[in-house]
Amino acid sequence: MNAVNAPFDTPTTATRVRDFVIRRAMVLMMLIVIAAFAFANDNFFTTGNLQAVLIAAAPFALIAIGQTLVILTGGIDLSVGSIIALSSMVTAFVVKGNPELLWLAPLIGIVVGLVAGSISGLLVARDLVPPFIATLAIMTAASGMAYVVGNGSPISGLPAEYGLIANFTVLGLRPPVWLMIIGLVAFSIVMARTTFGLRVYAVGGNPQASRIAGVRNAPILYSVYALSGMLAGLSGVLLSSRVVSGLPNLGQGYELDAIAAVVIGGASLFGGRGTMWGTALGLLLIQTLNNGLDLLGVPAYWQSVIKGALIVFAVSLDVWASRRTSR
Amino acid sequence: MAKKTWLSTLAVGAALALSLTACSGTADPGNSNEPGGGDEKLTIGLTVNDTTSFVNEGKDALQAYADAHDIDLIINDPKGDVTTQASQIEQFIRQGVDGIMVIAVQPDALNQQVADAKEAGIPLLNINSALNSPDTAGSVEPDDVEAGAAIAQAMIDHIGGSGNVVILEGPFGNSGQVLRKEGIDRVLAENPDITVLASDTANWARDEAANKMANWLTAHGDKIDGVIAENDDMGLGALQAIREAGKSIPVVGIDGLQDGLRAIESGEFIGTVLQNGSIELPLGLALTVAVINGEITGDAAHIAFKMPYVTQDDVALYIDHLVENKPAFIEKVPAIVDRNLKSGDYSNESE
Repeated sequence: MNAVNAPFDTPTTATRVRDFVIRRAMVLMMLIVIAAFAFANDNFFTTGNLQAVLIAAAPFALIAIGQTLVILTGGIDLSVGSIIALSSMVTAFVVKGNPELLWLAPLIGIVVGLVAGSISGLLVARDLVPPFIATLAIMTAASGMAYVVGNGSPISGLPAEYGLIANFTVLGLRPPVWLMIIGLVAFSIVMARTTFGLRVYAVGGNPQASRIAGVRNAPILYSVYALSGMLAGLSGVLLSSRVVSGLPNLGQGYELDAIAAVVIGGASLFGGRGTMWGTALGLLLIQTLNNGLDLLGVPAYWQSVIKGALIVFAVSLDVWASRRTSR
Repeated sequence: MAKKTWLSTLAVGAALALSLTACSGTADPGNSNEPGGGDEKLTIGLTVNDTTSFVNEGKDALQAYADAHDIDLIINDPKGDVTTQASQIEQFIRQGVDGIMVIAVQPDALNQQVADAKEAGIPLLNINSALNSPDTAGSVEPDDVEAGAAIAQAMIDHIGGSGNVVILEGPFGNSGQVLRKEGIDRVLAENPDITVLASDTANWARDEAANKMANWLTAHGDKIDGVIAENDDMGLGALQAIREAGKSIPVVGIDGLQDGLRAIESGEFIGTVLQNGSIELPLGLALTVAVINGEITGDAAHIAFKMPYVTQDDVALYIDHLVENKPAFIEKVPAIVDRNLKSGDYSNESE
């Protein structure tokens, strides 16, 4: 869990205990939730339902990966939900006007996200504005731009092939699900095994120390926001392909679910601590709850209440575990 | 320095505008700030949530009507927040507009502002959604209860009077959701052989409805005979989930969005209640002008807008108006709306 120290210290018994408690507690909770739903509804444990959970999780997973990187540096990215909307609108706009450019669609979305993320990244890296403000500004502006693109209207009547981007199957799974799996695996490796990963942890854990140690913080800060924006852009294309339209209100509030997943996964909002594996777990826990509670017919507003309680529980557990070891 | 000058100019301007409107408000409570202003250009303020597809579909026609009658239209978006909407109405009153159109975020929260407008002698009309205040000068309200009843009845007829349905609802407490559900519930109560397997909100949104429907398909398998969606966006999301599951289940919606009409054409939607913003919003504007000019007053200024239920039989006409030849249709809207306001056949789309 504590990857900043991991390469430098040999883990003590206390750290091991803490790691064990946190990781296993979340896994245990996940298992209890799954068991409860499986017991309550016969259809929960079916491949069809697993597909449904994964498809719903995929767009969140992409932005949660970016959010994890940003939060590891001690920042926050509020703009991803709006970037999803903007990316879906721009992509739909281009494809509607030029159906022959369909193959470019994912690239357009990624570029839109990259540009938006880069602006936040520059603002934060140059220390002009704190992350909360920079991404709040992009969130507001990108949402506005999403409406500008379609002159306030959604873009529909797209070629049917546009729907294929997210809706064909490769080896039984749809592209968004594959991208989620590849993204999570790739970024876990990047974070655990590469210099880039190490530097992200260092910048977030102690920016002063990392500067003294010779790490240039600015490029790292810039790149995490740019990556987060890019992934949000991709997520926007996938979502908009799923509903075969560009919607200016797509992705509304998604940033909060992504932040929740990261926090439930054990990351610290102060930076330097957290893992992709934890985020994946937090994300699947939220999505499994959404799915299972729908199966049981629990109204959407109760689902929010339960999600809120889960966040408090997960973070308290984390704080409690940290105190235990620091004593 | 330059910034300061700019700011102070603005402040002086605002103060001037304020004092001017205050004067005219007291001096001439019966009319707006232009006594006998029939020939003057009218200024009308509109506060409307910009995010709904329905409003967007109607904005071009609204603007066309305003242009045709040389009306200055100021549109503000409260972004779903009722206090923002309240401030926007207050702002319109301070500006001294000739009339105010409100598409209310909530039906019960704007009484003070509506009363203020009345006191300032500015007619305030609520368009498209309920506004529970005795002080409105008029209204154009689509009958959402009837729309809900119509789609429930259509679905029940389609599945032969008995079977299982699921219902996708708007955000709980939103007037559209409350009223449409009232209509749906009324029809359900008359049909005891219909079972509601699940009913929950998908917040008017396509992506949310797709996930919700996928989960319901898992929970209830092949037992679902029909989907009643309180708007087309959610119906289209449900349709996506149904396609992904490789099933075929009839869906009914409300709004008549482009994609919804196309789904009726292809037979995946059995129908939709058409809420044609291109007719309804300009009608609201036409009524506002008529009220300002004193041509329509009292109860006559409260219009119930009957929304037609569109099926595969007549969907072609509406696709022509709303999708394929929309610009041509919009050019004709001012004349159609003026005619409808006189005849009382408000949703008539023929030329």
